Amino acid sequence: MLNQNRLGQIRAMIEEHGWDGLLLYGHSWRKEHFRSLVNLNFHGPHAVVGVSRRGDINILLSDPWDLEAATSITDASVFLAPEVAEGLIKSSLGASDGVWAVAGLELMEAGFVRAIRQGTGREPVSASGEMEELRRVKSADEIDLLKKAAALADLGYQYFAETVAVGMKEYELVAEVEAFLKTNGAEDNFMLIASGGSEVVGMKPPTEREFKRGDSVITELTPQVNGYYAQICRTLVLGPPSAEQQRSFSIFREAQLAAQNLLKPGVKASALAKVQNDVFREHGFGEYTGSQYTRVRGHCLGLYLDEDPYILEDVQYVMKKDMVLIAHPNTYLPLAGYMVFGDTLVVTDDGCISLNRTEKKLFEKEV
Amino acid sequence: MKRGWITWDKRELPPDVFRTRIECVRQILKTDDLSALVVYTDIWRSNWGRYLSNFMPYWNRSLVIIPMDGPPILLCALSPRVYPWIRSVTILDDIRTSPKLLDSLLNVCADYSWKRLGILDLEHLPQQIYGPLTGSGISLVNISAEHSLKRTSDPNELSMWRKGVSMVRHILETQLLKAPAETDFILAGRLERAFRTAGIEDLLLLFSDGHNSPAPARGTEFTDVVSVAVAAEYRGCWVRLTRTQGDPPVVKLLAKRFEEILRTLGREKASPEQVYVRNISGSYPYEYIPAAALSEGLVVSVDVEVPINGDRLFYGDTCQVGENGAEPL
Repeated sequence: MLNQNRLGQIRAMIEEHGWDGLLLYGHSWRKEHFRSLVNLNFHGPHAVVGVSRRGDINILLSDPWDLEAATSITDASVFLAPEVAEGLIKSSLGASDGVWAVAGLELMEAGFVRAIRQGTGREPVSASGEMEELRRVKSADEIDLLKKAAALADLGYQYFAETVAVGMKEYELVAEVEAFLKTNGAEDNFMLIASGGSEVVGMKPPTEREFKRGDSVITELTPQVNGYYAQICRTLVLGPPSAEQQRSFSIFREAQLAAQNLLKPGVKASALAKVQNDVFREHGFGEYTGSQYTRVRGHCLGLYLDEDPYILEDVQYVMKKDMVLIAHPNTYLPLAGYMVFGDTLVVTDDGCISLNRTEKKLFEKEV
Repeated sequence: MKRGWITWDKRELPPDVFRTRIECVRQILKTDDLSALVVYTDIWRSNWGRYLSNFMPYWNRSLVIIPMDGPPILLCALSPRVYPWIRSVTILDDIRTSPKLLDSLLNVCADYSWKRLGILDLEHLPQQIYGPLTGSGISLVNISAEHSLKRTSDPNELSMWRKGVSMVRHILETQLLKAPAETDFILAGRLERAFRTAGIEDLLLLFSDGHNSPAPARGTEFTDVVSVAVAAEYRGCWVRLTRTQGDPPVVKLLAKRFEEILRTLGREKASPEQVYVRNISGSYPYEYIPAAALSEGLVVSVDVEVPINGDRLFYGDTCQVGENGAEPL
């Protein structure tokens, strides 16, 4: 299952840069470059696909079960190389003299890079930046998959809100949500959570903490459908929200809305961050927009769940039509602790639309 | 992806266990005249950092540094907001914010005047770190994790593996009894719930309906045969098991064939297309290795594929390679 549109883009890129070929490398954590051409959810740990200037396409896999799966979806040349470095030297992947570029070079084990050098007689060059830029603007097919992932994120949050209960442990709730998402076809899901009050300064993996009446329960769900991740961030209160929780959430909602209203082609990432941070500043909470209290005001989404460019005030990247990102002003506020709120957005001709359908509110659950 | 309950039960792994492991590292440092050992760790390659410090990045990547003198240091790309949590589940106290790991490492080397470092599995370092580090003027010595740290002969680690295997075996066999007439998505959901609730940190599930080798769920409806391969991480120890649900006599035959193959593993040439061995005690959670590459002491998963009545059936377990083949843990 080669992405033919991507293959055309890659061939043009090889031509433009005068490379002799391009390798797309992925490992079990970071599969995005590989999967942008070969949509195989390999279990790994490594996979490489090479496209030569001559037009050959070769796929190296390191596990025999992945080999079988790949063979069933593509007629490209597929081979098994448990010793990846050896495979890179022996195979036609990067084995011809000339300059080979590698998307994912920085992630590759040093021994693999040495093997490419040995095979080609030249230092490989990084094509990670070029491939990332190529992947930022999504095709109609990719946006359809992101819509499916966002719809699953909505269903997942609905299930999350229905399931959370006083006395339940954080990790038990995560188990329930993971089960729901897998039952409904998610390949994977990235999920963080936290619960409590103003002592909560960020999200992390689930602990054995039991939910209590009055807790803010915050989560980001990031289900993956056919390779593509969409995300939703919401905050829920167990019992009636306090005045502080309501006031705090209203600031987050205003900030996210400001970003959503601003986002359109030509807007810089820095402006998207500033418009969110300005809301906090106007409410007297400007100090909580820095790295001590928060990470980013959003990020792009796609075959990886935390793609560049990040939405930060010092990032000058200009947004383009059909980019997909989440704007989330998640941060700590002394009013009611860390809160989260965000939707997956797709940039249109003159604005953006949210792919999430979940109500934009502070959720509350009777207890 | 790691999203389960990451914790440190000190009754299960007392702090002394880590003190012994750190002391073992310091003996290596002393022998090789090294200032510190640097261990790369990320969300997927966390085995060695976890073994030495109980730290597992639930996201991003880090370097664990074991100095010859002084407490371990964590160079961490995660936010300082989660450091209290990290301190609560690891032996680490000195945690330094390091969005750029290499720069932070070089700063630490400069601060302590370190000129000669041991790097755990040097050639496995990501190029982004390896390239500039090798040009930094610091002398780098490769320390082989497998040969130096002796994880697979550590009784505490073997005990954790056994505990993980026992838990995964029980859950998988219980849940599989309900498998036929479900889709792989439904079974995946049921297994996720059971494993995550039991405290599994990370999980990979592969399914076969008898016509393919185990693969991620894709909506397949099972009829009368289901094989499920589970890779699960229990408190830093990965285990893998594969079980098949089908006619009881067939399943019995499969288990018998598995036992036969274990006895000959590494000693006789088994037909390679029917035996799949993965190292689960190395850098990666699991890494396919040819059966001929097995060495005594390794902790591996062994899967056999047996064709019966036109179906491809699978059975596997986590084993340790010994003098007389491989023994299930």
